[in-house]
Amino acid sequence: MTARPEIERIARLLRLRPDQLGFLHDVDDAELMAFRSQLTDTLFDAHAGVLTRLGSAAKLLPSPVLAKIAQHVFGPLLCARVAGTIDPGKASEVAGRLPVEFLTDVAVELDPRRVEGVVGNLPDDLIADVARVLGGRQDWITLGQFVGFLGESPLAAAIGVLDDGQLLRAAYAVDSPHAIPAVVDVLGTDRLSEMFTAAAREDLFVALLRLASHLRDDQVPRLADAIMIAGRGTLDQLVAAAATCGHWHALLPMAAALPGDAKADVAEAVRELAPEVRADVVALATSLGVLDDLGPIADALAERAA
Amino acid sequence: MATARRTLGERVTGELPDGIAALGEDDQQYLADALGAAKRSQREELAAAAEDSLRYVPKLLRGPVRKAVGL
Repeated sequence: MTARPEIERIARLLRLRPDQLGFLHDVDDAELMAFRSQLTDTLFDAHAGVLTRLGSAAKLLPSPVLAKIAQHVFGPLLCARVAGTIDPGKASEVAGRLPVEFLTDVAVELDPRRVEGVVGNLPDDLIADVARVLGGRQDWITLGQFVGFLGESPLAAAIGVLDDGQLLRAAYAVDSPHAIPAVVDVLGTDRLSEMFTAAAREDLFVALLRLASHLRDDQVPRLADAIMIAGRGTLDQLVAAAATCGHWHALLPMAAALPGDAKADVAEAVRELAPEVRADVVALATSLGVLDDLGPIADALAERAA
Repeated sequence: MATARRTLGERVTGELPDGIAALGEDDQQYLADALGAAKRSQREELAAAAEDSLRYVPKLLRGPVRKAVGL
């Protein structure tokens, strides 16, 4: 995966490149997120009076005229700033008249929190069109930040136009981790399984584990089923990814839900880990309450942790 | 006369998160200056766009629109 999503988002707001913000690498994600929220509010509130007046003026004009002004005068950034001040119904009408590429440019600049009403009014096919363009542009940041603001139907429409690798990359960049269970609800077990295959093919297990780390308890067995459909050859890669990124809290509940022979495969991979890592994993499995369900994996962990 | 550059803490609302507050002075000032520049660009672009928009507004509506926008 490339630069951390939060740093990319801050760079975008400040009109900088991510590499100009290298000094933020040691700041944790929660603090970067809080800082980004401050920056967003500062930029949106800086000219609130002008933006509100523009929103008022928009009431006087028919949608076709607003669409022309949006595209030919305002451009994507200012459209994104004004969008939240316009009546959601009218903003949706205008959106429907804009070329998808332009609308996608606007989406890139939007703060979803401020246009929830507008997004909620957009038809599913328009959401899908924008998602397709964003996927083509590899703009995982924008895809990821809208996930928490889409209802089930538009979410399904957007997911339907993304391939498995694109979906994983977008999941890695999801702004609101609490939205991830809704994504998994939309995905069938077959699609989840295809995502495992894509993760193995495109080296995206870190993204997959991030997704898995925010599942509801009742979704964990579905993911375990998906692993089995995808093929047990992915298991050692999954363990290696957990060792790399430290997402053991995502892997352990899944491993506990695997059938016995698959657990044996995971146990083999676990035996390759450094003893101190095994000790940490044992402690984590205990705190998660899954140690007793790990079977041979727990035995493998204990061999070296002892 | 030169004016003092506004610090990051002065430019954003609320307390800076600890990790940001712990950054070096130069890095914080870099962020503050970038935020200031982004705000200036936004202000200039909004003013220009409000004026340019009138070219697309039907003549009959230009007066009310000017009034609503405050031009």
